[in-house]
Amino acid sequence: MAKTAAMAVQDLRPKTGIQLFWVRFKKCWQLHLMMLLPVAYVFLFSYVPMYGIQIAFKEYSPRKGIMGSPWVGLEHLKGFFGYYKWTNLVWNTMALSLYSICVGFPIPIIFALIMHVNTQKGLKKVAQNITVMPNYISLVILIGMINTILNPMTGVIGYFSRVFNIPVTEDIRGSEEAFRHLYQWSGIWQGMGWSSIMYISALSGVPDELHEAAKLDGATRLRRVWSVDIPTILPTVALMLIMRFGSILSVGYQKAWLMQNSQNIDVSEIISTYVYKQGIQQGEMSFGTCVGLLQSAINVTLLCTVNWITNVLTDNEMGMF
Amino acid sequence: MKKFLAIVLALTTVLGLCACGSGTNSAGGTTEDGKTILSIGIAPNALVMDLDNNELTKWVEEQCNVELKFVEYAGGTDVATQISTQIASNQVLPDILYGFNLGEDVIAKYGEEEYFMDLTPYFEDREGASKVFWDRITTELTEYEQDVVDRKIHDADTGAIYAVPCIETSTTDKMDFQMWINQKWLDQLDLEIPTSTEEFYNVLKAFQKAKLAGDRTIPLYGSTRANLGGNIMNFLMNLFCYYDADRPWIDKGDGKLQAVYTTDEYREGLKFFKKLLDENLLPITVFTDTNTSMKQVITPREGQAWCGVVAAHLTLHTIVDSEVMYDYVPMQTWGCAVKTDVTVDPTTFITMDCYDGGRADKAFEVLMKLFTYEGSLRVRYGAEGINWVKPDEGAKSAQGLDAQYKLIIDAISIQNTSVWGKIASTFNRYAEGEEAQSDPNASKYFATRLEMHAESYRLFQEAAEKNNPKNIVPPLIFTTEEKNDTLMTRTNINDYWRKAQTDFLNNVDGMDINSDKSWNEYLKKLDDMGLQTYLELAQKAYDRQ
Repeated sequence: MAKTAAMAVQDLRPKTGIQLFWVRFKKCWQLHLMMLLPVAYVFLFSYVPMYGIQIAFKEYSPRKGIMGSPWVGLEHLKGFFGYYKWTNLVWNTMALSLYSICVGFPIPIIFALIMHVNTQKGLKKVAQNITVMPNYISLVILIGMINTILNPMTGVIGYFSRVFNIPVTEDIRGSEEAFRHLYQWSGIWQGMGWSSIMYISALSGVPDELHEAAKLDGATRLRRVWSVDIPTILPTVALMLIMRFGSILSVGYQKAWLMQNSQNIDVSEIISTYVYKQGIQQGEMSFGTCVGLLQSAINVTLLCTVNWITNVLTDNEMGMF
Repeated sequence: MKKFLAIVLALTTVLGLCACGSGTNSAGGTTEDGKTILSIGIAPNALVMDLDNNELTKWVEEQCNVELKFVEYAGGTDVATQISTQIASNQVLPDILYGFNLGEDVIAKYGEEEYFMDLTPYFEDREGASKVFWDRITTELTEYEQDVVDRKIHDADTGAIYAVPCIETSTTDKMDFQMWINQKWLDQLDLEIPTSTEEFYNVLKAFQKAKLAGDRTIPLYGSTRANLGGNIMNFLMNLFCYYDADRPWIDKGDGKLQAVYTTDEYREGLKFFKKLLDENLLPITVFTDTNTSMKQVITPREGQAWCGVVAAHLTLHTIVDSEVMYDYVPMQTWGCAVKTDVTVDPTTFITMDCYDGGRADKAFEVLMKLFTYEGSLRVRYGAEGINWVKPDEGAKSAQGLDAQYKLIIDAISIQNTSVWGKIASTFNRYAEGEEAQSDPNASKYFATRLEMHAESYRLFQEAAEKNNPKNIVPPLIFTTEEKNDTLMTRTNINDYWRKAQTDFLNNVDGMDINSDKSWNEYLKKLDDMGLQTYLELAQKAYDRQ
């Protein structure tokens, strides 16, 4: 039915926020419905558990419940800072994270650019598949592979040392110097292909016209990568970098724990492995939560700082918020 | 079409959220024929093919009129994580947690917080619920051993009993510190089995020089990461002093305690270890090899031994059906041969969820059934007629005692459905070496292995007569208050001395075991960390015991 003139006039009147929301909601309610699942997920698994943060300052006993457990103030925090090597734990965690940002972060971008530049479709697909596959190997298997390869007696290294008569004088698996390199480069091997997917998709959105214009201006392929491709994916890169800084102290315990031995423990003991041993295995959930909260507080501070720096440097164009 | 998609999405959302509900481990209730349903948490063993259709399960179900439901847990240290996570997230625990080594502190914590049931009323009912337990203890153990059991089953702080223990008195568990030597190599080099540290060193040197396995020759092999009593540090340090990393205290003789890691004997042990490392008599993998890689080195596929001396558990760290394993013979220790007290392992628990469900009596009955002679035999070896039969007339065990049963299946390496693969809540008076007749058809190597172990027991007992250290301190049990007051000091000190041990052996940060200055700095750092306070606390606990 055709709208009357009065109704048309009413449509043109300025609307309040709620009205505007309803108008938009009605217009694309299917999209909002699609959002329901992720919103519910974030609400249930990220916001609801925040209620439990209070156990960081309590002596949590599940039988007494979160509310019923007695308050102990900053006891758990004092416990963490009372550990004679707590500075070591923080540094080891940060060192792994910074190493990852310096090496593990740019490599998928470089790989994505190489894939983008490559015009041979078959080769591109094969390379992408091969690099993505290691992502599906479990960490336990990956560490098993590392141990098997690097074993100086029964491993590949041992085999070559005997064939070429080069004695192995150090067990790399126990080397403090090698730990971070092994940790990172095995991670890069495993995750490079997977991490590059986001950049490859961002690069696929680079308009052809830009390349054509650059070609007319006489730009070489490398020049086009520098002046067309990289600026296009820069917002995605900036976003990912800010998020990386936001989790600088959140290195998972599994890999470091699996690679740990008495020789490399000075560099392989990170906050999460310590919390796993002292908190989770000993049933001290409050201690684990308290250190987790401390980590998150530092992470949020770092995230805001890096976001602010990005905003300042890019004139508010590339920050997250 | 849009509406259809919307409905599908909405349904997915609802179903997805429903799936977030917590699961349950509790069985509860009774079957139609009146059997109580009990759930048992257990870490599966690769050698056990089926827990549900298992001879032991069927026997327990029949004897106790129950139906058992198994809840599988991860093995090793992950068990503690799994249970701690379950408790923290308020999940229902299985009625029985069977064969879990959680450590005294964790048991006391979960007991006091009422996750594990206090079994004291059952154990006090000596003529009723726990009759089987006390009957066996009082008739089969010496008075001293009975006293040890009575002391160890109670929590130090509250006096409660949170676990049905696994009790073992067999010498099998006392073989930690005897090494194995390659007899073939000794014969080839015309050498004798060493009987002192000096001779031991000379034999290792001779093995190194002779290179009987070419470039792969390893004069002495072991790993500090080996578990189950196979840690090379224990083997080597016990040549110099009584050493147990989990119980690092010794009695100086006047009832006063000393931390073993501050003694001169301990330092001498480290010096010897370092010397072996420096002279390549020990491989560089001594700090990194795990149980899996140890098997490959001790019993390589090529069929030729690489090692001269093995400081490991010969059954657990080898491939038992490899010819190479049988090149080794036990080497009597000239160091500490520790005669341990009766072993009382608190590894089986009845949970409060079981009590709340009114099934605790039945659960305790099941555990007591496993404690009977037949139950314990079934737990360790399996079913009569399948795994073992009555012994031949006048048959003797490998150790020369009267055989009580004849094992017709290799108890260690054959997959079967007659056991649960965990030995818990049982009383094993003897092990196979002492009490079993082995059937030559059981396995090509089984009888040989029993003979090797019997010889090892014999040597050990001889050594223990001479070298059983007098300064052993039993596990010290601290009260909750003591534990909380010194938590950080204990964590720091225990972390530091263990780390320093590796650092001394690897010269990390200039730490040199041969330098007095370095050693004194180490002692000073321990003092600065509060070793005296910790020592006073340990002394208090020792005096109490």
